[in-house]
Formats: sequence, C-alpha cells, structure tokens
Amino acid sequence: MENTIVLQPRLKSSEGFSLLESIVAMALFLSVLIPLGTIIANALIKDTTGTRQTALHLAEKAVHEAERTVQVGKYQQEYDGFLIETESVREGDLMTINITVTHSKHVSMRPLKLSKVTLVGQ
Amino acid sequence: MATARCWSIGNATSIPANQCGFALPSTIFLVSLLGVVGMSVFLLRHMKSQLDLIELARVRAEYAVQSGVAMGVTAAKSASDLRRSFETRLRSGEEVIVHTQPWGALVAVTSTGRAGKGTATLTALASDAPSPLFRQALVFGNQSHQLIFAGTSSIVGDISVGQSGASTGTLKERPPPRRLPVTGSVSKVSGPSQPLFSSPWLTDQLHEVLRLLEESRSQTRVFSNSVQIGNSGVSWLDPSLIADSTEYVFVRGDLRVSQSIHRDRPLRVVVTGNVRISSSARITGLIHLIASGPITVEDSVATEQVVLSSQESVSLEDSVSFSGQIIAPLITVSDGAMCTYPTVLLSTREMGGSTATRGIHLGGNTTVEGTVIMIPQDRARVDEQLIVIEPSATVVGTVYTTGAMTLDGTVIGTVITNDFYFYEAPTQYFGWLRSGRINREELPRSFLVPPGFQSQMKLQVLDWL
Repeated sequence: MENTIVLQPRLKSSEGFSLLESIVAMALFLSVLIPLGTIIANALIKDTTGTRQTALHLAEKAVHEAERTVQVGKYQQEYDGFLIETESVREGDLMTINITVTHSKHVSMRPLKLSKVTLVGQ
Repeated sequence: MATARCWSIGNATSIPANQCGFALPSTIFLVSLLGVVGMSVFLLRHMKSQLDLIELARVRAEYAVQSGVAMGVTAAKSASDLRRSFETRLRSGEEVIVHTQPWGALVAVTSTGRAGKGTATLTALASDAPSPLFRQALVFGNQSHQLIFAGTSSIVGDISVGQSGASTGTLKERPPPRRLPVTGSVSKVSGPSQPLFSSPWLTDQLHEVLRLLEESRSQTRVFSNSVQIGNSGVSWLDPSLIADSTEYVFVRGDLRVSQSIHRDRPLRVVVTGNVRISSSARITGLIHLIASGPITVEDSVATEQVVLSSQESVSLEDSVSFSGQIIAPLITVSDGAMCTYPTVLLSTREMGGSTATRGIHLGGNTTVEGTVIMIPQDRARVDEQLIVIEPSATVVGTVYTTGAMTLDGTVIGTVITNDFYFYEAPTQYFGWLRSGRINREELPRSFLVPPGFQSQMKLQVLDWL
C-alpha cells in the first residue's frame, strides 16, 4: 500500500510526456520519411538516369552505324524497350544524321536527340 | 526526490532523474539518420543525373564541333572562302561557330560547339583532293627534249611527256635499260601539261610574314596580345611568358628554343635573327616560327603542325622527327631525318631573302611524307635552284617544281617537273633519269595535296589538332 502511494506521482508525471513525445516523434519521422520515401522510390523505380545513359550509348552507336553504312533515309530500330529513329540526309559530300531515342516505359523521359554532320565520299 | 532536466517537450522538470527515458532523443536521432541517409541517396542520384546530363552535353558538343569542321571544310570551295566565319545550329539544338583560315600552304578549320552546359573546340588541318593529273606517276613538262631513262631508273604508273617522247640512253658505267622501264602508259602531250601552283592566300601570308619581319625590325607597329623578347643578343623562348591570348612574340636578335610548347590557338613568333631549336624541344600545334635568318632544327627534335618560315634557309639535322610545313628559299633535310605526313616543304621566290642558292635538298636515308614544292626564280641558273633527292632518300607523296630536279632516290607518288637535271663532270644532263624510281601505285589513296593546284577546291580533313 505504501509502495502504491510512492509510485503513483511518478507514473502520473511521466505518462503524459511519453505520449506527447511519441506523437511528436512520429510526426517528425513521417514528415521526413514520406517525402523522402516518395523521392527515393521514384528514383529507384523510374531509374531515368540509367535509361538516359543507355539512350546516349544507343544514340552514339546509331550515329557510328549511319556513318559507316552511309545509309540515307528514315529507319527505326528497337532495343530492350528503346526506339531508335535515324534520319540521314545527304547533300553533296555532307551527310546529316539525326538520331532520336525514346523509351516505351519511361514516357516522362524526354526523347534524347543527337545530330551530326559528317563528310562522306572521301 | 531528485529530478533532472530531460529531453522532453513541455514541463518535464518533475521527471525523476532515473526515468528520463530515451524516446525523444532516439527518435530524433533515428529521424536525422534516416533523413541524412535518404538525402544522401537523393543527392547522389541527383549528382549522377547531373553528371549524365553533362556527359550528354559533352557528347553533343563534340558532335557539334565535328559537324562544324565538316561544314567548314565543304564550304571552302575557292580562295575567297578561306578567311571566313559562320554560325549555324544543328537540328538537335547545338550551336556551332566555324572559322576558316589559311595555315601555311594548308587550311585550318576551327569549330566551336555549344550544347547546354557543354562546350568544345576543335581545329583540323584541311587539304585538297588531288586532281586527276595526280593519278600519273610522272608529268614531264619540258617540250624541247626527250625524257631519257638510264641505269636503274624506273617508273610504275602512267607518265605524261612532251612531243619528243621518252627513250632509253647510255651513261658512263650505267647501261641502258633493255626497254623503256615504265609499267604504264606513256602519253605525249603538246603544250604545257604541268598544273600551275597558284595559291593567293599563301602569297598573302608570305607578304604578311615579310611585313611582320620588317615591322619587328623597325618597331613601327604596336600589336595587341604580343610579347617582346630580347634586345639584339641571343634569347631563349620561355613558354611561361606566353599567355593563351598571346598572338605574337617578337624577338630582336637570335632565338634558341629548348622547351616544349603546344598551342591550340595560332601563335606567330617573329625573329629578326637566326633560330636554333635544340634537341630537347617539342613543338606542337598552331605555331608559326618566322625568322629573317636561318632556322636550324637539331637532331631528336619533334614537331607537329608547326610552320617554319625563313627568308634564308631551314635545316633539319640528323634524326629529326618533323611534321609540319617549311617555307624558305633553301631547305635541307639531313641524312636520317624523318618528315612524317602531312609535311609540306615549299621553296618559293616569294620569301625574298638574300641567299643565292635556293632549292630543296633531301639527304640520304631521309623520308618525307607529304608534298615537296619548289617555285624557282625565272632568271636563276638551273643548278642553283633544284630539288635534289639523293639515293636512298624517299618521298611518299608529291614532288612538284616548275624548274628542274635531280632524282636519284625514290618517289612513291607523283612527280611533276619541268625537267630532270644532274651534273657529271664535265657534262650537265637535262632530261635524264639515271637512278630515280617513281611508283605511283603504292601511294595511299587518302593522300591529299595542298590547295592551289586547281581553282575549284575540294577540301578534306588532313589532320586533327
């Protein structure tokens, strides 16, 4: 009985603060975690960086291929979800190569465009 | 009862010291940690994304400058196109600025490309596609006498000679070939068959060179972006004194070059005395060394793309590895020197100077890959203005003169000459080939000649800087 009387004030004084602290902590936690999680999730799921890198690599490859073959006209290739559109125009000794690379899944990613004017017939 | 100030929100002074708890600090710590980790991941990804965008901009800018060079090269069709600038925009948005200017006997095309944050600059040296005349092994211009083969002389490829034709002959200790040693067709042409080397932009440059030398001597003109070195003694060229923006270096007196220098932007070094480039030097890029006295390049020096102009002479000593252009009345390439493609050796009357002997002398075991041109003075003696190619010397490319040449070595390519000449006491021989060999079939198809042999140019990229 004596023990109860001694403990009660301590419990009373500590229970309110621990709840408030937890709520505040949770609020803080969530306010940081939710936006952060969203950003990370977006970054991880979309992975536009990797996509852009691959798109650049494919575009460069397409330019080299167009230079090598000197193929004139419009043509498309598909590779692992990427659509590579090549348009080559020849005027005299110059060939203008325009490459556009898009990805079917990452619609939000802007199409990657690459142009090069090259000498042919040397 | 002992109380303590705890990590808490509100009035927590009544919490006993042993009941503070760790909920808030640990939560804040956790949140901070997660926040830092999360932000780091985000920042890293953001940085990677930015780096990728920079890489993309770099690639686009590089393609843009290459495009600019291609456009600049094809836009230059005639002499009037060789000093011009233009701007254009590619379909994918890159801006390109192209500047074309003569660089010695060749053409320098500088292209600057901009794509987003990416910028790139590239300079290429361009030269002309050879005209159909250069498909021949030999164009022998002299109409007044025969071309005579003796000894071991031979030609692989077609030749063009005057109406007198070609035959074989006997020299002392040199039996005649059993039949005409030409493995190709022999065309007899009436009238002049040699193309004229007409290069007004080169003439303008040579006039500019002479003007610079004169102004350097008299100090009548003040140049911006210039550096003055020396005062009539011997000076050393110190690259640290030359800023990127410097366009001219004026040297009064003699100059010694012993350090390595590279320039992406044109630099003209004007020397009123002699120049000696010593063994340890390596000179590369758009550097034009102009001297009123002789220029000597010591053995083991390496050069690329430079232009050496002298009013008197330029000598390449043994074991020099030279690539570039030499413009002087007298050019001497000593035994064992190597001039790699695209080298141009040009002896022209337009450089003036007081030296009596002119010409180009290629010593034994030398190799010149490129073009050798001599434009003789009208009234000078033939033996004082010759191209001499000694036995075991080799030219891979073109040899051109409106005068005469002594060919005892080998030319892999085309020889265009008005006459052949040599002297064996007590006789001067004109039109005779005693040991020279010409082989047109082994010349690489991509070989180019300096613009000036045809009015309508078709420039192509010769070398990248």
